[in-house]
Amino acid sequence: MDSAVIDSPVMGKITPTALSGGVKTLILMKNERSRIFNASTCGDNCAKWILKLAETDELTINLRHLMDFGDGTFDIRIMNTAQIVHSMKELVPIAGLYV
Amino acid sequence: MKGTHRIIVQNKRIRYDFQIRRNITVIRGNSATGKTALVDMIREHFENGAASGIELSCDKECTVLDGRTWAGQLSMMRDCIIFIDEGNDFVMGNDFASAIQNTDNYYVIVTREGVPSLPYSVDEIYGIRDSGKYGTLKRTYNEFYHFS
Repeated sequence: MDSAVIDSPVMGKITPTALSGGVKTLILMKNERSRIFNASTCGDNCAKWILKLAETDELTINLRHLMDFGDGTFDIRIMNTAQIVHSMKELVPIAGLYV
Repeated sequence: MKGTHRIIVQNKRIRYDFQIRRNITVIRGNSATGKTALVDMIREHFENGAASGIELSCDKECTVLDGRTWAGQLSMMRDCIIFIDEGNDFVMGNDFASAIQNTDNYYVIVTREGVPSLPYSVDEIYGIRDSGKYGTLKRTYNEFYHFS
Protein backbone atom coordinates (compact mmCIF):
# COMPACT_ATOMS: atom_id res chain seq x y z
CA MET A 1 0.00 0.00 0.00
CA ASP A 2 2.95 2.23 0.77
CA SER A 3 6.50 1.84 2.09
CA ALA A 4 5.28 1.13 5.63
CA VAL A 5 2.15 -0.97 5.10
CA ILE A 6 1.67 -4.14 3.11
CA ASP A 7 -1.74 -5.67 2.50
CA SER A 8 -1.14 -9.40 2.96
CA PRO A 9 -3.91 -11.70 1.70
CA VAL A 10 -3.35 -13.96 4.73
CA MET A 11 -2.07 -11.77 7.54
CA GLY A 12 -3.96 -8.55 6.73
CA LYS A 13 -2.19 -5.20 7.05
CA ILE A 14 1.42 -5.80 8.08
CA THR A 15 4.59 -3.78 8.35
CA PRO A 16 7.70 -4.64 6.31
CA THR A 17 9.32 -6.26 9.34
CA ALA A 18 6.54 -8.87 9.33
CA LEU A 19 7.41 -10.04 5.85
CA SER A 20 8.86 -13.49 5.42
CA GLY A 21 12.59 -13.70 6.07
CA GLY A 22 13.14 -14.86 2.51
CA VAL A 23 11.35 -11.84 1.08
CA LYS A 24 13.32 -9.47 3.28
CA THR A 25 16.56 -11.11 2.22
CA LEU A 26 15.64 -10.69 -1.45
CA ILE A 27 14.94 -7.00 -0.87
CA LEU A 28 18.31 -6.61 0.82
CA MET A 29 20.08 -8.50 -1.97
CA LYS A 30 18.59 -6.08 -4.48
CA ASN A 31 19.35 -2.92 -2.57
CA GLU A 32 22.58 -3.72 -0.70
CA ARG A 33 24.71 -5.16 -3.49
CA SER A 34 27.99 -4.68 -1.67
CA ARG A 35 26.97 -7.11 1.09
CA ILE A 36 26.77 -10.90 1.11
CA PHE A 37 23.53 -12.27 2.53
CA ASN A 38 22.61 -15.70 3.85
CA ALA A 39 20.29 -17.11 1.20
CA SER A 40 19.41 -20.02 3.44
CA THR A 41 16.78 -17.71 4.87
CA CYS A 42 15.14 -18.15 1.47
CA GLY A 43 13.05 -21.04 0.28
CA ASP A 44 13.22 -22.58 -3.17
CA ASN A 45 10.47 -20.20 -4.28
CA CYS A 46 13.06 -17.41 -4.00
CA ALA A 47 15.59 -19.13 -6.25
CA LYS A 48 14.23 -17.72 -9.51
CA TRP A 49 14.34 -14.20 -8.04
CA ILE A 50 17.95 -14.67 -6.98
CA LEU A 51 18.82 -15.71 -10.52
CA LYS A 52 16.88 -12.73 -11.86
CA LEU A 53 18.77 -10.32 -9.60
CA ALA A 54 22.01 -11.81 -10.89
CA GLU A 55 21.03 -11.10 -14.50
CA THR A 56 21.69 -7.39 -14.10
CA ASP A 57 24.71 -7.54 -11.83
CA GLU A 58 26.92 -10.20 -10.27
CA LEU A 59 25.48 -11.40 -6.97
CA THR A 60 27.33 -13.24 -4.22
CA ILE A 61 25.31 -15.18 -1.65
CA ASN A 62 25.99 -17.54 1.20
CA LEU A 63 24.12 -20.83 1.07
CA ARG A 64 24.03 -23.36 3.89
CA HIS A 65 21.57 -25.67 2.21
CA LEU A 66 20.99 -27.08 -1.24
CA MET A 67 18.68 -24.61 -2.94
CA ASP A 68 16.75 -25.80 -5.99
CA PHE A 69 17.46 -23.38 -8.81
CA GLY A 70 15.11 -25.22 -11.12
CA ASP A 71 15.31 -27.09 -14.39
CA GLY A 72 16.78 -24.28 -16.45
CA THR A 73 20.35 -23.29 -17.09
CA PHE A 74 22.26 -20.69 -15.16
CA ASP A 75 25.78 -19.54 -14.38
CA ILE A 76 26.76 -20.07 -10.75
CA ARG A 77 30.32 -19.95 -9.49
CA ILE A 78 30.85 -22.02 -6.37
CA MET A 79 33.35 -20.00 -4.37
CA ASN A 80 34.46 -23.03 -2.33
CA THR A 81 35.94 -24.68 -5.43
CA ALA A 82 36.02 -21.85 -8.02
CA GLN A 83 33.97 -24.08 -10.33
CA ILE A 84 31.22 -22.68 -12.53
CA VAL A 85 28.08 -24.77 -12.92
CA HIS A 86 25.18 -24.36 -15.31
CA SER A 87 22.51 -26.72 -14.02
CA MET A 88 21.28 -28.46 -10.91
CA LYS A 89 22.80 -31.66 -12.26
CA GLU A 90 26.21 -30.00 -12.10
CA LEU A 91 25.55 -28.10 -8.88
CA VAL A 92 24.30 -30.90 -6.62
CA PRO A 93 27.41 -33.15 -6.52
CA ILE A 94 29.66 -30.22 -5.62
CA ALA A 95 27.37 -28.37 -3.24
CA GLY A 96 26.51 -31.62 -1.50
CA LEU A 97 30.08 -31.79 -0.22
CA TYR A 98 29.62 -28.56 1.71
CA VAL A 99 26.01 -28.34 2.90
CA MET B 1 7.45 -37.66 26.30
CA LYS B 2 6.05 -40.37 24.09
CA GLY B 3 3.49 -40.79 21.37
CA THR B 4 1.70 -38.54 18.96
CA HIS B 5 0.39 -35.13 19.97
CA ARG B 6 -2.06 -33.08 17.99
CA ILE B 7 -1.65 -29.32 17.98
CA ILE B 8 -4.24 -26.83 16.78
CA VAL B 9 -3.20 -23.18 16.70
CA GLN B 10 -5.51 -20.54 15.33
CA ASN B 11 -6.55 -16.94 15.33
CA LYS B 12 -9.19 -15.21 13.25
CA ARG B 13 -7.03 -15.28 10.13
CA ILE B 14 -5.11 -18.50 10.15
CA ARG B 15 -5.30 -22.01 11.51
CA TYR B 16 -2.71 -24.77 11.82
CA ASP B 17 -3.68 -28.34 12.63
CA PHE B 18 -0.88 -30.91 12.77
CA GLN B 19 0.57 -33.78 14.72
CA ILE B 20 3.99 -34.20 16.27
CA ARG B 21 5.12 -37.80 16.47
CA ARG B 22 8.73 -37.88 17.56
CA ASN B 23 11.10 -35.98 19.77
CA ILE B 24 12.57 -33.95 16.88
CA THR B 25 10.52 -32.57 14.01
CA VAL B 26 11.96 -30.33 11.32
CA ILE B 27 9.95 -27.76 9.40
CA ARG B 28 11.38 -26.29 6.22
CA GLY B 29 10.21 -25.24 2.80
CA ASN B 30 9.28 -22.24 0.72
CA SER B 31 9.36 -18.71 2.01
CA ALA B 32 6.16 -17.02 3.16
CA THR B 33 4.38 -20.28 3.97
CA GLY B 34 3.77 -19.41 7.60
CA LYS B 35 6.63 -21.10 9.43
CA THR B 36 7.55 -18.07 11.51
CA ALA B 37 3.91 -17.10 11.88
CA LEU B 38 3.27 -20.47 13.53
CA VAL B 39 6.13 -20.00 16.00
CA ASP B 40 5.05 -16.42 16.73
CA MET B 41 1.49 -17.54 17.49
CA ILE B 42 2.74 -20.19 19.89
CA ARG B 43 4.96 -17.64 21.59
CA GLU B 44 2.13 -15.13 21.95
CA HIS B 45 -0.22 -17.75 23.35
CA PHE B 46 2.41 -18.96 25.81
CA GLU B 47 3.02 -15.41 27.02
CA ASN B 48 -0.53 -14.11 27.11
CA GLY B 49 -2.89 -17.06 26.99
CA ALA B 50 -6.42 -16.34 25.81
CA ALA B 51 -5.73 -12.60 25.91
CA SER B 52 -3.49 -13.07 22.89
CA GLY B 53 -6.51 -13.80 20.72
CA ILE B 54 -4.92 -17.12 19.83
CA GLU B 55 -6.50 -20.48 20.56
CA LEU B 56 -4.14 -23.36 21.13
CA SER B 57 -5.23 -26.92 21.70
CA CYS B 58 -2.72 -29.56 22.75
CA ASP B 59 -2.41 -32.03 25.60
CA LYS B 60 1.12 -30.75 26.24
CA GLU B 61 2.36 -27.23 26.90
CA CYS B 62 3.71 -25.57 23.75
CA THR B 63 6.40 -22.96 24.04
CA VAL B 64 9.23 -21.28 22.15
CA LEU B 65 12.97 -21.39 22.70
CA ASP B 66 15.18 -18.64 21.28
CA GLY B 67 18.04 -16.24 21.80
CA ARG B 68 21.27 -16.22 23.69
CA THR B 69 19.70 -17.37 26.93
CA TRP B 70 18.38 -20.60 25.40
CA ALA B 71 20.19 -22.84 27.86
CA GLY B 72 18.65 -21.14 30.86
CA GLN B 73 15.19 -21.18 29.26
CA LEU B 74 15.55 -24.87 28.41
CA SER B 75 16.49 -25.79 31.96
CA MET B 76 13.01 -24.72 33.07
CA MET B 77 11.08 -26.60 30.39
CA ARG B 78 9.64 -29.98 31.25
CA ASP B 79 7.32 -32.22 29.26
CA CYS B 80 6.78 -29.49 26.66
CA ILE B 81 6.64 -29.24 22.90
CA ILE B 82 9.29 -26.63 22.14
CA PHE B 83 9.33 -24.64 18.92
CA ILE B 84 12.54 -23.09 17.63
CA ASP B 85 12.40 -20.70 14.68
CA GLU B 86 15.13 -20.41 12.05
CA GLY B 87 17.93 -18.04 12.77
CA ASN B 88 18.68 -19.65 16.11
CA ASP B 89 22.14 -20.98 15.36
CA PHE B 90 22.43 -22.74 18.71
CA VAL B 91 20.52 -25.70 17.28
CA MET B 92 23.54 -26.43 15.09
CA GLY B 93 25.88 -26.82 18.01
CA ASN B 94 26.90 -29.76 20.12
CA ASP B 95 25.90 -27.89 23.29
CA PHE B 96 22.26 -27.96 22.23
CA ALA B 97 22.45 -31.61 21.20
CA SER B 98 23.86 -32.48 24.63
CA ALA B 99 21.39 -30.32 26.49
CA ILE B 100 18.31 -31.95 24.98
CA GLN B 101 19.53 -35.53 25.29
CA ASN B 102 17.94 -36.45 28.57
CA THR B 103 15.00 -34.06 28.48
CA ASP B 104 11.40 -35.19 28.17
CA ASN B 105 10.46 -32.50 25.65
CA TYR B 106 9.64 -32.69 21.98
CA TYR B 107 11.36 -30.22 19.68
CA VAL B 108 10.03 -28.63 16.50
CA ILE B 109 12.84 -26.88 14.65
CA VAL B 110 12.40 -24.55 11.68
CA THR B 111 15.51 -24.81 9.53
CA ARG B 112 16.60 -25.50 5.98
CA GLU B 113 20.12 -26.40 7.01
CA GLY B 114 21.20 -29.87 7.91
CA VAL B 115 21.58 -30.47 11.62
CA PRO B 116 24.08 -33.32 11.84
CA SER B 117 24.34 -33.17 15.60
CA LEU B 118 20.66 -34.03 16.09
CA PRO B 119 19.17 -37.50 15.53
CA TYR B 120 16.05 -36.65 13.55
CA SER B 121 14.26 -38.92 11.17
CA VAL B 122 13.73 -38.09 7.50
CA ASP B 123 10.12 -39.10 8.15
CA GLU B 124 9.69 -36.11 10.41
CA ILE B 125 10.67 -33.34 7.99
CA TYR B 126 7.68 -31.26 6.97
CA GLY B 127 6.77 -28.23 4.93
CA ILE B 128 3.74 -26.01 5.47
CA ARG B 129 1.21 -25.25 2.79
CA ASP B 130 -2.18 -23.65 2.44
CA SER B 131 -4.68 -26.48 2.38
CA GLY B 132 -7.08 -24.27 0.49
CA LYS B 133 -9.98 -24.55 2.90
CA TYR B 134 -11.63 -21.42 4.21
CA GLY B 135 -13.91 -21.05 7.20
CA THR B 136 -16.73 -18.59 7.52
CA LEU B 137 -14.27 -15.91 8.62
CA LYS B 138 -12.13 -16.57 5.51
CA ARG B 139 -9.53 -18.13 7.72
CA THR B 140 -6.60 -19.72 5.91
CA TYR B 141 -6.04 -23.33 6.87
CA ASN B 142 -2.45 -24.47 6.82
CA GLU B 143 -1.36 -28.07 6.82
CA PHE B 144 1.90 -29.91 7.22
CA TYR B 145 3.13 -32.15 4.40
CA HIS B 146 5.98 -34.62 4.28
CA PHE B 147 9.11 -33.42 2.57
CA SER B 148 10.22 -35.86 -0.10
